[in-house]
Amino acid sequence: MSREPPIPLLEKFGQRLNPFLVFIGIFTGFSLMVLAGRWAGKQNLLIGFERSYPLISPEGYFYPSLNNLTELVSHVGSRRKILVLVGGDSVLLGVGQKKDQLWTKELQRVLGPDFVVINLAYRGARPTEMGAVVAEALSKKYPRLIYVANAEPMSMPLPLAGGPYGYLNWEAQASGELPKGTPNLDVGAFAANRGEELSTEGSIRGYFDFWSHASDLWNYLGYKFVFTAFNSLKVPPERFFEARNSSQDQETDVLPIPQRFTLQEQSMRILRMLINLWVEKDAQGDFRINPGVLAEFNGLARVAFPNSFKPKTFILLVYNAPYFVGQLSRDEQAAYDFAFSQGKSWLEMAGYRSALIGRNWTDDNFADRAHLTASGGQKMATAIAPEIKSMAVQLGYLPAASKEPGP
Amino acid sequence: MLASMLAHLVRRSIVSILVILLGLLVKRFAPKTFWGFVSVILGILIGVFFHYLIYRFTLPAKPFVYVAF
Repeated sequence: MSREPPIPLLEKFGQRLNPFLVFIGIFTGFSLMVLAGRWAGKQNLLIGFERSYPLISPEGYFYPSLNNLTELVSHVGSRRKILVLVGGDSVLLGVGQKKDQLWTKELQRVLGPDFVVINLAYRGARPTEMGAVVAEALSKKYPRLIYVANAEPMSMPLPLAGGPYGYLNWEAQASGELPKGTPNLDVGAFAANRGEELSTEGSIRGYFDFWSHASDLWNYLGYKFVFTAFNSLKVPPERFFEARNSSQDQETDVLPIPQRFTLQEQSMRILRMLINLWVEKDAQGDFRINPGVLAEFNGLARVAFPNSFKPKTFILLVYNAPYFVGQLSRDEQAAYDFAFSQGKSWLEMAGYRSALIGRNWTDDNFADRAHLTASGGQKMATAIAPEIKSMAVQLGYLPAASKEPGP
Repeated sequence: MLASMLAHLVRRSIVSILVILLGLLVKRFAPKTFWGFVSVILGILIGVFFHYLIYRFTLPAKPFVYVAF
């Protein structure tokens, strides 16, 4: 006598399910999540935001969506005020400055109530990434907008293909919020490169994110309730699931001089490498910008921002700490100065506003080779505030009468 | 923080219990409808999971490590 083998539980379960209804459920579930994401994308997630510290930035696996950032600006900004969006890298993010000493707070104080300053700089971000994307995407909604970023002299890098921040450019492109690029035909090749270079995972991520609102929803849940991606930056790492709104912006203390200026040899090598890249001597022994660097800069600077946006873009060229610059030979120092002054001139010729920051400052103003301390940040804010006001007058945001009287 | 997480868990648990009770009621009175209901719920869970996968798969495999000096 043989007994029939028992039907496995899962098979029994599967036989009873209705495949059509399962598909209806998948469609419904996914649609509900997209709708929830759409709602979440309209909330101001980053309440009390002052700057992006590691646990609420890509370093901590928190990739803010375009909606997260535009909603932040919309909640903090006002169309009645002039919006000053700060992008760029860790120098403008304020690495080296504690949260309460942040240079953008000082900038807000100096500019006064007619302006709203928001710091959207990210560690290692290029002037065309993150803050720039938000500024361009919001330029229709906030016509009175000024974008501030930093760059190296003779450099206007486009978003980095495969980099941590390229996804936002694609998300913005999918949203259709970006203003149209320059129509100039002779820069078509650069524009094409911009698209081709970015056709990577970042592009897929950007488009999927925009249409599915996946980051909007899961960032919302991760920020407010429970974070789902492991990250070793969280201390202790086994508590990676904790909501990111419970994390703190913790900046370490700046060491006394000279301990703060570590990695001597590497820093000097970087400085000399940059000088050799930027500057060369002609037959008469005069300095000139390396023609290859100049050609590349001109091409990139023309397509990095739409023509309509360039007059609203203020690029800061920030010097390195005198501790290191002072160790260069006289000739190298002259070449270094030449690169900065030429960098400013070429940026202005390309249609941008530019300023040199940190020339003849002291070591006290620097937290390391490149970053500024609280005193350096205050100096930077004081130095650029009149320039921003002057831009506001030139762009017609402010009447000429409100321009600060000269000395 | 802990209190809000607990409140969140309690809310979730109540919703889950209600769903199970509803399922049991349907099973008691209409077995066919019960499996139809299970099919839809399972589909919804798969849809939610798909949405989460889009988010997770688009995160880079290697973390972005920023070093400044």
